[in-house]
Formats: sequence, structure tokens, C-alpha cells
Amino acid sequence: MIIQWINRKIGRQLMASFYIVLTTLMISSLIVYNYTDTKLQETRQKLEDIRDRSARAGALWEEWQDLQFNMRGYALIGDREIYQKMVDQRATIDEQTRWFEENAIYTQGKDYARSSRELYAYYFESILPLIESYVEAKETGTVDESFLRGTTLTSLPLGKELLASGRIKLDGAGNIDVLSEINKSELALGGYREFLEEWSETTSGQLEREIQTTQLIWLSNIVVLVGVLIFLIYPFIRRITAELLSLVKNSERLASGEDVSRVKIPDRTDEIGILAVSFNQMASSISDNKQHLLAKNEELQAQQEELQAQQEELQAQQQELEEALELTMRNEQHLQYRNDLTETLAAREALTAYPEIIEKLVTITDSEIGALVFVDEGAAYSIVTHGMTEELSEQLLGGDFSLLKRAESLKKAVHSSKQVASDHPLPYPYYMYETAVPILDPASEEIIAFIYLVRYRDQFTNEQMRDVMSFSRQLSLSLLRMRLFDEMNREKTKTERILDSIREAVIYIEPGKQEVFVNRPLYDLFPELQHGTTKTETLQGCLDTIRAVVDEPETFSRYVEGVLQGEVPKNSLQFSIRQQVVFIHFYVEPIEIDGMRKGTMLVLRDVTKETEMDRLKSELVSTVSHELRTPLSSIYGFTELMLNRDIDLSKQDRYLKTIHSETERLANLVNDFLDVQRMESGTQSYQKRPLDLRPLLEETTQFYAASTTKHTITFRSFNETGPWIEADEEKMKQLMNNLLNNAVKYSPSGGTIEVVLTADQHHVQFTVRDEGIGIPKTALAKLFEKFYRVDNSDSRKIGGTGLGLAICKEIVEGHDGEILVDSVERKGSLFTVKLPQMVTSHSAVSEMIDMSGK
Amino acid sequence: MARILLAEDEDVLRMLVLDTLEDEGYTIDEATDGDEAYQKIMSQHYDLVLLDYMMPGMTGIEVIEKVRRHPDKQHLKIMMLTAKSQQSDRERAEEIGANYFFSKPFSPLELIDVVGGILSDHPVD
Repeated sequence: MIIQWINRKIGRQLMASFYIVLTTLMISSLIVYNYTDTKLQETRQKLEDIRDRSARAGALWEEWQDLQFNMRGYALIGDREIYQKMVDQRATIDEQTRWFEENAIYTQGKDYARSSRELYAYYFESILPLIESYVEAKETGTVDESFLRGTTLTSLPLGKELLASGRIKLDGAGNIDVLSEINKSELALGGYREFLEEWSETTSGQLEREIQTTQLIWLSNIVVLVGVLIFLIYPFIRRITAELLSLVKNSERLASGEDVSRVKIPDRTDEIGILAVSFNQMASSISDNKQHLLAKNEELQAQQEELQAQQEELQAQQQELEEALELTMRNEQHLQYRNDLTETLAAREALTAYPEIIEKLVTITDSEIGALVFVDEGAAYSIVTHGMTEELSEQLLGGDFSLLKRAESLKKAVHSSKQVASDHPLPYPYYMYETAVPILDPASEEIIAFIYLVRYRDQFTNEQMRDVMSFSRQLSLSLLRMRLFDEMNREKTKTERILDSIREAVIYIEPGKQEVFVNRPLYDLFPELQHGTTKTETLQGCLDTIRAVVDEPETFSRYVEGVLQGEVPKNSLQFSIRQQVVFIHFYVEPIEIDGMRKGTMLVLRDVTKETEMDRLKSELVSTVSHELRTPLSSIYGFTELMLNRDIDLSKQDRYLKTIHSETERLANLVNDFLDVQRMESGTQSYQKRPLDLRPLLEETTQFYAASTTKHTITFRSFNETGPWIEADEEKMKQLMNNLLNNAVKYSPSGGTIEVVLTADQHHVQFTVRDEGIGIPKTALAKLFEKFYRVDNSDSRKIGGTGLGLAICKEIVEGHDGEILVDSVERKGSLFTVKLPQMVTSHSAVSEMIDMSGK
Repeated sequence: MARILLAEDEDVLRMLVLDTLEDEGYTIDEATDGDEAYQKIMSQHYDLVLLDYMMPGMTGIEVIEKVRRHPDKQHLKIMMLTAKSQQSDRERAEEIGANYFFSKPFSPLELIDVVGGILSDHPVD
């Protein structure tokens, strides 16, 4: 089962082989590893054991050495403590010796155990009791010596006894031979240790060898397995490649057209097997199809030949049809042109269509070039051309073009033909056929235009001429209409220009029409309408736009509503727009022709200026009457008092002074009015003379400084003398008086008033600065207009005619200077006067000084 | 004798009226602008107030308007001295509560008669 499953795919076969080899490799590696590890463990244990034995042997030997040392000490000092230590050591030595006796494996170990045991017997059974008896003898005083001698021991009873039993022996000097016993034991130890070392080395060497052997076996194992792998897989791959190659070869043969009827099918169930089977099927099916196709091909060739014959026949037919179609289309085109031309001639906008008309005429008549020559007023010609040179068109306009002359005198179509030199406009000699057809006014039989046409090669056919003639009749009607239209248009434009040039804005409405006619001033008045020149607008749009800016839209709507219903209001309407910026006088004029009402004209007249003037005038009247009445009242009152009462002298004096000053005030007021009158009529004249401005300003300032206690009035100049100007001294005084008077008047709470004079090369400048109530920003622009007065509660309370500054401006401008104002409300104002400095040479200056000296 | 308040900003006119009426034996108090006039009217008793129309601070009309708001000043006699004889101004002043009008330029003798008439028709309390 599994083998079949594996055989079905090449991949599976390869993987199976690979897995087998891999598994074998892994198992053998595991075995080798396990064996090596066990060996290593065993050896390590053995070495541990050897090391332990060696340590134990060393320890036992040291114990012996120690005991010997203790024994000597005990013999000398006889200390019980040392004795006790020796008893403890005896137990230890006994235990250690027994370990060796029980655990020794080799002879050397056993020898060492035995020699230790012999030494044990010798020391603890013979020597220790002997030493004990020696110590005892020393304590009893039987023996008295500082150093232990072997001979003394043997002389002791126990020594004698032991010697007798042979358990101790004497050396040559008669001492007890302790050393030889010890030496024997040491020798045994040395031998044992040597043996242990050798043993350990042997064990390590053995381990190394074993490991090497194992590794060698493992390596050879791998080599063998790799060999097996190659041995197994190579033929497998070779077989597959060979089979595939055979398939490729067969495919190539098939592709090159050979007949590959059969391929040997390998005995395989995998892809190659399937591929081979499919290939066989394909090859056989292809070979079947090929034969079938060959048969079909022959059949088709026969059919194709037949079709070709048919096609040729059809092509011939088609050509015939195309020719017929082209002819029809040409006719149709011709008709279309004629139609277009007729339409153009009938259209209202024919004015701009002359070029189109002549172009169409040229096309219809198959001409090369053409022109419409109009006979205008006074027998002058004008021309519209098509395809014509400037030269020729000028000839036509010239008035003595023979063909036109002929047509004019005959009043019918005339022709001519002439040979033309080769150079122009065709590169070879050719004939040029011309025709001129006069267009007659049907009423007066007068010629109003000519149609002029030119063609090369052929004469105009009768048919073409008939076309031209028929168009000439149509053209005559059309031309007359166009002339009428032109005239009307000119009239209309004239009317529009007239309407545009009047000051009043006009909206002309006709009953039942939404479109209204408006003029340019309306757009000026209401820029919201946005056009700018005379146009038609919708009534609703117009009225809505106006209503949007009218200050009282209800009143406006009511008035307009009445007009739209046909009323003609007797009264006009006065209204303002944009918050009283513009005032409009609005009235209605019905338009009647032959007693019939045709429409209504709404007239809007901008009366802002007039309104403003009215306001100023009425304000002037009230101001002037107020200004006049105050001095008049005092003069009237005081004189009456003086006439009717007995008044003491001091009071009389005061009254008279008052009357005098008030009279002066009146006189000044009257002078102001007269000045303004002169200003308006342009009769003001100035007595200009060289004038040193500095003393004039200084004196005026001083005068005002003396007349007020509330204000501090100062004068500063940056020049010692001069500057000199050419001016009317009286007017300069008046200017200065007005400015200072204002500065004082409009600083009701006092403060500083400063007059500063400066000069540069060309100009003289003086400023008057106060700390008064100031001037609102909005009023600054109008400040120097006559009768203008700042309209707020502060200034109302301060009287004035509104003439002072207007007079100042007039004076300054009369001297080619300028006056400027700058102000901050509630902080103060600054008036600046700039005048041109007198052009002076050195001598002129000295002359002036002379004059001033006089 | 009757107490009169004279509110007038023009020095010469004030002097004229003062001299005219003082000689007739009236006690005259002076105010040179509208604010001063209002304060004096509110703080003192006067039998008659002579009020100029155009003054710095409050105008004569504004003074009357403010004064008449107080219940105890409803019957105070106020005469406007005005150069503005226009009908519209007069109507406005009357509406607000001015009792008499006297036009500039005026005759001092006529003023004495008018003031005397006003004050004698209504006995001093």
C-alpha cells in the first residue's frame, strides 16, 4: 500500500530514500554517543577512586608522623594531655588501617595495610607501654635524665621483658630501633602511591584510545551511509532524466512535424508515467487532426478563388455607385449653399453677413474671386471682397473700372474675358472671365450695388448666371432692408447717446413688458446693476436693486406701485439712498405718440448737491441771524438804556465801549460776508508786496496773548529775520487773526496755543496748535468749505458763521500756498500754512530791508 | 423782591439784562452756561428764569427738558431769550415747557414791562 502511494510521485520517492538514510544516520550516531558516554563515566569514577585512595594513604602517613612526634614529647615532659591525644590517634590510625585492609584491591594496597598494621602493633603494644613506664620511672625519680636515651629504656623492667621476648630490638649503639619500623611503613606508602599514579595514567590512556576508536567507527559509518545514499539516488535520478529526455526529444520531433505515433511507456505510475501516456494520446490526436486539416484546406482554397471573382464584380459595382453618390452630393451641396444664402439674405442680422454672402456666391458660381461693390450716398463706392488682392479691390473702388461702368450704363449683367500673363495668379497663361451684375432698387430703378465675380478656365454657364441674377434680386431687397436697419440703428444709438449724456437717470417701461430700457446715469447712480452702458434690464431686477439701497423702501415701493398700475403721480418723490449719502428727486413722465400712451419714463435726478446747498443755506441764515442778533441786541439795548435812564459816568463809559466793540464785531462779520462774496464772484484782489512774516506773526500772537487769561499763547521762530514772502499784509493779518481766533474759541477750557514759524529754501511754513475740543475725522475733509460747520454738540455751543476757515483757504491759495489741518478729537488741532518763499538775490533782500525801514 | 436767574453766555448781553433788571430792584443771579443754570435752578428758589437758547454745555432747551422732569419744578416760570425766532424752535420749546419767549434783539424797557407783568400776575410767595 505505502509503496504504491510512494511510487505515484517522484517527490515522494526522493523523500522516502532521504528519510531512510537520515534515520539510519541518526540511530548509529545515537549508539556511538551512548557508548562513548558510558565509557567516559566509568573511567571518571575509577580516577576518582584512585585519587581518594591516594589521599587516604597520605592522611594515614601523616597521622603516623604526628604520633611519633607526640610520643617523644610525652617521654620528655610526661604530660597526660599528650598521652590522651595519642590514645585518640590510636583509634584513628586503627580505623584508617582497617579501611585499607578491607578495601585494598591490588597487592600494593594490601602491603601498605599490612605494614601499617605491623607498625600499629609495634607502637601501641610495645613502645607506648615502654614510654609509659619510662615516664612513671621519671616521676618516681628512678630515672633522672633530661634527654631520653634508648639505653635507659632497655634498662627498665618492661624494657628488659620486651627485649627478652624479642618484641623490641636494639641497634648497634644499644638504642631501640624505632626508625626501621617507621621506614618500613614509609617504604610501603611510597610504593603504594607510585602504583596509584601509574594506575591512574593507565586508566586515562585507555579511555582516550577507546574514544578515538569509537569516533573512527562513527565517521566510517557516515561515509558508508553517504555512499549508500549516492548509490541509491543516482540511478534513480538518471532513470527519471533519461525518460524525461526521451519525452523532450519526441516533443521536439512532434513540433517539427514528424509523425510520432508511439512512445515507449515506462512501467511507472508516477508523473512521468502519466506524462508519457498523455504525450502518446496527444501525438496520436495531433496526427489525426493534421490529416483532417489538410483535407479542409484544399476545400477552402477552392472556395476562396470563387469568392475573389465575386469580389471583383462587387468592386466594379461599388465604384459605379460612388460616382453616382458624389454627383448627388455635389448637387446637394450646391443646393445647401443656395439655401444658406437665401436664409442669410432673409436674416435680420444680414448687416454683418456681407463677407458670408459674397463667399457663398463665389462658391455657388464656381468662381475664384468675387466682391460686392456698394454704391453709397454721393456715388461713392464701398466694397466687401472674397479672395481678392488689395490691388484689384482698389481698382474696383476707383470709379473708372470699365466693366462696372458698362454695367452701370446698361443696367444689366455684363461679361468680359481676357488673357492674363503667366505670372499672376497662375503660373501659365490663362483666360480670366469676369462678370458684373448690377443690383437695382426695385422702386427707383437706381443701382445700389454690383456683384463682381471672376473665374478662370471656363465661361460662366447660363445656369450659373441665372443663379446670380436671382440672387441679385434677393440681394437688392435685402440691401434695402439692411440700409433701413442701419439707419434705424444709427438713430437708436443717437438716442442712446443722448440719453446717456443727460444728468438724469432714466428707466423706460412699456406696459406688459418685463424688459426696460435704462441709461448710463442709472448705472452711475446704482453701481450694483453692474453694466455701465445703455442696455435693457428687467424691471423687477432694476427696482429690487434700487429698493435695496433706498433709505425708506416702503415709501419708494408705494410710489412705484402706483406708477406700474398706470398712474401718473402729479407730485415727485424725494428720497435718499445709502444712509442719506445721495438724495434723489424721482418723477414720472408718460411718453405719448400721436396721443397714444406708449410707455412711461421713470426719471431719477441726483439732487445731492442741491440738497446739501439748501441745507447749508438754511443753516447759514440761522447762524447769521444769530451772529448778527447778539451784537445788535447789545447795541440796541445799551443805547436804549442810555437814552432813557440817568446813568453814572463810569457806567456810561463802559456802555459806550461795549457798543463800540460790538459795532466792530458787526463790521467784521459784514467784512467776512463781503470777502466770501468776493471769493465767490472771483473779484478778490491782493496787494502783494514783500513782507517780513516774522514781526507780523509775533505781533498778532502777542495781541491774542494779552486778551485771554485762560490760554497760554506762545510764538517761536527759527529765523532771526524773515522769512520774506510776497503777500498782502492785511490779508495775512486776517488769516492769522482767523486761525488764532479759532484756536481760542475752540479751546473753551484754555490750554496752550503755540505758533511756530519755520522756513526752508523754497517754503515758509507756520503752524497754529491748540489743545481744544478738536475736529472729528469725518469733518476734516469738508472743514475748509464755506458755511461748513462741524455739527456736534460741542461746536454748536460755540458760535460762528462757518466762513473763517473758508476765507483762510482762499487767502492762502491766493498766495499760491496751501493750508492743512490735522486734529484729534478732544486733544486739539494743528493748522499748517505753507507759502512759497520769495525768490531773492542778495541785493533784493537789502532792498526789501530798506523798504521795510521806510 | 423777586429772585430771577439769568442764564446767558454772551458777556455783553448778560451785562445788559443784569443792569436793566437790577435797576428795577430785582435780585439777579447769573449763570454763564447751561450746566450752571441747571445746578442753580435745582438748588435754589427762583421766581423767574431767563434762559438763552444757545449756550455752551446744555442748550436752553436741554435745561428745560431736564428741569421739568422734577415734580417740584413743574410750575417754575421760564422765559427763553432767543435769537432764533423761527416758529419751529418756538414750538419745540413750548412743548417741552418754556412759558414765555422774548426775542433778540430786544428793547430793555420792553423787557422790564414783560418781566414785571409776568411776576405781578402771579404774586410772590
